[in-house]
Amino acid sequence: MSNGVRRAQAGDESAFEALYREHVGRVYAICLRMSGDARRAEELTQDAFVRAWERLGSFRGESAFSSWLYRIAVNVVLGTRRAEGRRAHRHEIAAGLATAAEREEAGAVERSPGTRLDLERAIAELPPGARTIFVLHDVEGYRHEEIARLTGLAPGTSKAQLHRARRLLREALDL
Amino acid sequence: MTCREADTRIDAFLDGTLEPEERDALETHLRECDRCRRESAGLRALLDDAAILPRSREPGRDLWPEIRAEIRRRRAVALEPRRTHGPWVRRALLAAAAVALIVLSSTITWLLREPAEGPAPHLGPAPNAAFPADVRAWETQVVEATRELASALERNRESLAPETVTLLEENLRIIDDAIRESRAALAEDPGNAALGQMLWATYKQKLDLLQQAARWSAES
Repeated sequence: MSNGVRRAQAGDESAFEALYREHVGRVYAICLRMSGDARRAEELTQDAFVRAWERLGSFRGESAFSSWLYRIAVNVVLGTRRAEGRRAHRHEIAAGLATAAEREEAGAVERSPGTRLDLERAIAELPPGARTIFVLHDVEGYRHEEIARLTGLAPGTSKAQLHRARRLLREALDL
Repeated sequence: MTCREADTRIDAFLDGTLEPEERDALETHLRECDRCRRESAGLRALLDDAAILPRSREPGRDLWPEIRAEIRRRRAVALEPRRTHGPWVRRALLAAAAVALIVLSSTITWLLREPAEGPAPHLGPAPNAAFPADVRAWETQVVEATRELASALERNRESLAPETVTLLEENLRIIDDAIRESRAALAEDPGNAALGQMLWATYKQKLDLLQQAARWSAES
């Protein structure tokens, strides 16, 4: 466990701010892709960090702090969706994606920026259930059994949703 | 293996979760079937693109101030569970006002050790949800009332002990900061009744403090 995490656990706000600065991009990316809405993703990101602050005492260092934090973010998004039971507005993500893609071109690996932007847009356009499973499995690397525990879906349903998401994305991207 | 059977196995094949026997059968089919080979290649391209998506994305603004405000609010005040139908970020703007009130109540208890007596400035009813028109009308009364009390206090300032004056000024500053933040939050979300109630309560606390201090200074 890092010294910064220990200090945050002891109530040091500046230490927690440092953790925020280090991990906000990753947390926001999770919230953005799972929600499909930039403004909503900001709120979810805030929720995630507040919840992490409240639960710092339960972090024992058995996993990486980042893994623990990102899981909290996933749970925040899923929990909010269950509570609200409504669809996110997907089209609003486009403006944020365009700006972010431009910023990332300089440091990007050798892939077409247009392809990455198209994929982000296509993910945002997926139905919420399919989008959740695709982001968790193919972007974040969760296994179906883990996704099933997080979402309450049966593993078979998770696999079916993934198949559907992949098919829709391939159609949208002409792959 | 048929193409239909292959279709149901390509996902698991590319995920590396297919059983060895089925994997071998699928690989044999893919070598012989152009259509399924194209399907597999298309899915592989999608997964390759997904694998190199940027892991981080920066939000459009710095979220830390509101996170910090919410953390402090939860640490200082026990509030009702967050409602899910309203943007919580605006409730975070209540944090500064709430914390200010906590600080105020914990440090100036001795100033308010006697209940305020005598005619109190009429504040009118607490603002309802129809902001900002109501708050403009109501706030005008409050500002005038506080000005009168502050004038009365200033006239008798020298009768107060220096440490009393210092404490009073410090706490008025805290209240004024909370008022500013509440007003800013309300300007951003005029229909928020909770923010209006908070602003009302903060103004009332200022009036109570000034009234008590003015009375006390007159009696000194």
